[in-house]
Amino acid sequence: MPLDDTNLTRLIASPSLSGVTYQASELVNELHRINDQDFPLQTRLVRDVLLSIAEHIHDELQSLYDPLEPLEPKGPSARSRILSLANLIHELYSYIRYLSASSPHQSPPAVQLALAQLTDLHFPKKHGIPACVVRPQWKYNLKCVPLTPLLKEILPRWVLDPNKILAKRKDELLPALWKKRLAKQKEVGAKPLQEDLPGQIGILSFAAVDTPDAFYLPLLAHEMGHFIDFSPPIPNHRDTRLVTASEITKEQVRDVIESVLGQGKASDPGEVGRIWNILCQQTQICLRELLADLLATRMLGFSFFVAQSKFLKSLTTWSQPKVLDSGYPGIKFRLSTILEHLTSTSYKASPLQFFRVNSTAQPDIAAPIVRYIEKWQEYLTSLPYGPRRNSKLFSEELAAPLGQLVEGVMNDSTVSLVARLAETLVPDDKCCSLTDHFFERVNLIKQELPPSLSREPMDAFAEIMSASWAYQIAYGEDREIARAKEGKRVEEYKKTNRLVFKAIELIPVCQSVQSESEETVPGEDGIESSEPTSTSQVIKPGLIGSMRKLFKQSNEQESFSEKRGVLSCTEIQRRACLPISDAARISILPLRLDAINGASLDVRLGNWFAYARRTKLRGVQIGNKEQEALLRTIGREETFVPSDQSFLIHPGDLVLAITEEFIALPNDVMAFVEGKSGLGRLGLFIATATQVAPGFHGVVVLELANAGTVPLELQPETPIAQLVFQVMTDPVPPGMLYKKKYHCQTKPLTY
Amino acid sequence: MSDTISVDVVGPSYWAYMATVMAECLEKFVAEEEIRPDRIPPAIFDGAKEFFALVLEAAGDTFPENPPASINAYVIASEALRGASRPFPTTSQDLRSELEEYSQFVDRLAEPQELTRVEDKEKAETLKKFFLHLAADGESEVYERSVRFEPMPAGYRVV
Repeated sequence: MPLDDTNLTRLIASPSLSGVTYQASELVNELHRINDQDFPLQTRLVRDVLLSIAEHIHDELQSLYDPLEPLEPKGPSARSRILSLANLIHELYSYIRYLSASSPHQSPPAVQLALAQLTDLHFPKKHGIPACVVRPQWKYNLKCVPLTPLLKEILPRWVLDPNKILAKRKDELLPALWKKRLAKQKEVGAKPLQEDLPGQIGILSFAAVDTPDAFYLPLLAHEMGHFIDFSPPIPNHRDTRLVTASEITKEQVRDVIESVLGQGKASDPGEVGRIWNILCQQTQICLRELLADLLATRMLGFSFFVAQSKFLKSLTTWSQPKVLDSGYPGIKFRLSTILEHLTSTSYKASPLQFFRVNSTAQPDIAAPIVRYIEKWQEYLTSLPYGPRRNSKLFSEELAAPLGQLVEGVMNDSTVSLVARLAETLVPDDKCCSLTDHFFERVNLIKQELPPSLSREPMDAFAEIMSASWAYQIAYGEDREIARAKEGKRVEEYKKTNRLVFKAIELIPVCQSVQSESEETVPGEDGIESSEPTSTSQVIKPGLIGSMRKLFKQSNEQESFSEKRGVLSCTEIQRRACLPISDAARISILPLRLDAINGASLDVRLGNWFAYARRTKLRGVQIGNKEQEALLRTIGREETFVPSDQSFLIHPGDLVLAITEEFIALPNDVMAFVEGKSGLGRLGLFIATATQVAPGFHGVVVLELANAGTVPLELQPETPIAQLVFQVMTDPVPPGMLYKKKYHCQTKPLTY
Repeated sequence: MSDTISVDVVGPSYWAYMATVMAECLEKFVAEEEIRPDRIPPAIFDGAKEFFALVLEAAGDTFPENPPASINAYVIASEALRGASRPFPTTSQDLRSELEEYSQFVDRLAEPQELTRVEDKEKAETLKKFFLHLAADGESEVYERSVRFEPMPAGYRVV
């Protein structure tokens, strides 16, 4: 085409169809980089939804090319469509970074597991099966991106399908795009992740995963609250009663303007409309945030209040007004609302009541927590709201009276309506309640063990988090202060974090390995329990009580210290079933009955692997600490393999793996790690430093080497090695117990 | 503090393509003195009706059913009207009447008919201008958002 004046003008004035189409094809390529190996299922499902839109945009752009008018789209509408499609491409691009960040390299898998727990338990499935992804937020804030309503409402269907070829109604467009992609996939023989479009997809951003700080994990529930809120076609916080209760009229806005600025100053209806818009958005945002807070309170109870208070205190000062310019409730308003709900009589599983009831039986834990909650109540009651100053939205004289309009509708009766709504969405039977095992969990952390039960209930995450915060208040802070003298305050905090993360990682394991046929017998603590009738069973809390009784009767006279040598199955069981605080106890979490052999304990492969990375390291001199550290850090990469996937170990590879079990040895027992002969014959060697020292706490790191000729697939939870326990001639003195750098390790590489 | 994206709070860019096509169609109808509904892509026509339905919900004195969406649309429409209508209405009631007239005219586009009466042609012209302003507002919003680098909740206008 000759570049004459006309063509040059057209070239200059038109958007580049090739450029935009190229962007669309790159968007498709980028989405394909979210691969099936490195990303959790939830991420891949979200990727597929985005791909179905991106591929359609690409097809549409290609169809806009007209060989007769190669330099210019036909008319302003074609030009505008290219711009709109380009805009959609940019919108979708912004989600790719969210998805990329959800890989286990960046988001601790325990966070995704915790989210899956919350989703399974609380998300209303009537609005579609959810796929919710968690990703780190590099700024110190949290975000919920409820993608389903965004995609349904924000993607203008007249841009994607102006002639209604794909869908007649607006809610049919996404399913139609999904179906279109599915058909394409089938044409090329690819296996789709699932036939149906995921009903609800969302991305939750989470600040605490930057550092991995388990104590802030309850804040996830606030974001989950938003995800639940946005699940119906009209979000829950726009409930008619709430909207009516929080209504501000244009007349009220006009009155405020005229009373402050004088008669006739509110003559521009557009201006009144704009101010009204802002105030209404403020009330909506405030309702939305309060609802998310109260949903989180009901999902996670005590731990949510503590986490939220710690988090908000690190962000802002107390002198905030009730409702900020942004519409967000101020810190006092939020925390008071949460605490009032948590301690109200309508909260069926009131933690305050739970701690009060148990404060005599558990004076070290329950009593300080009762005081802690009461102190918060006093503090929040005595605290005044801060003044409204430096409004960025309104002039100085208008800011206060307009703010009062918003604060006026956010009164007690509105808050109480929000609470009633939260009670409907997370009803009493699903509301977080603490059980008798709560104190057991606190004591487990106190004994430097993950707060994990051998059989976890559905809502284990909530209790683990509450127990972790209770430990932190009752013991943790003191222990950190005690270690501050040796400069290890943070080490103590990090250790507790590792224990909490491990407990969360163990939740699915302890939920999935259960006996299907069980005969119930009451346990020591009076809780209904059961005896094993199958050989594959995790020991249940009540069962441990029963076993304790049995061992007590049969070995009343025998002392542990009198027995020397390799522990028999009876002795392993006996020691494993001792109370947590017993000094002779061997802790094995999770404990499986069928894992105990005649003279050893089978241990299973955990989910974490560390493998060699190709680097420019020239070599490592053994004994040179700096070079060894380089090998550990840049020479190796750590990955989490979900239990339904496998890790491939190639011939000649050395891989660091871990046992699924967290082990804690008493001061008179050591253990040896032995490979399994069946695996050895396949060429898999457990080339481990075989000794586990007395007093050791943590997972056992296994150095796996494939000496065979074919790659071997390692699936987590496979029995991988055995531990042989041996009682020593004398207990190790306290100062000599193992407390070095691998103490309480939960992953192959220390961190 | 959580920074949750508000759904339904859309800026003028959401409506830009619909507005462009509507303006283009109205121009043709005026030139040909005939309304031809088959020339308006069906999803575009749905979009125009949806827009005015939202706007009118918020234009009244009662609180809208879907406040963020309606009130945003109302503000976006009054901005577009500011460019299209001279003089700009001085009361909320006048503003509402003007928007209602536009909405009624959009409804009329569903039926084939002649467009020969002067006042109808004038109305079509004003509505075309309205849509053109809406489209221009939308495109400039996309630009503003792009140069900010970070996607922001669309339509959240700060005065």
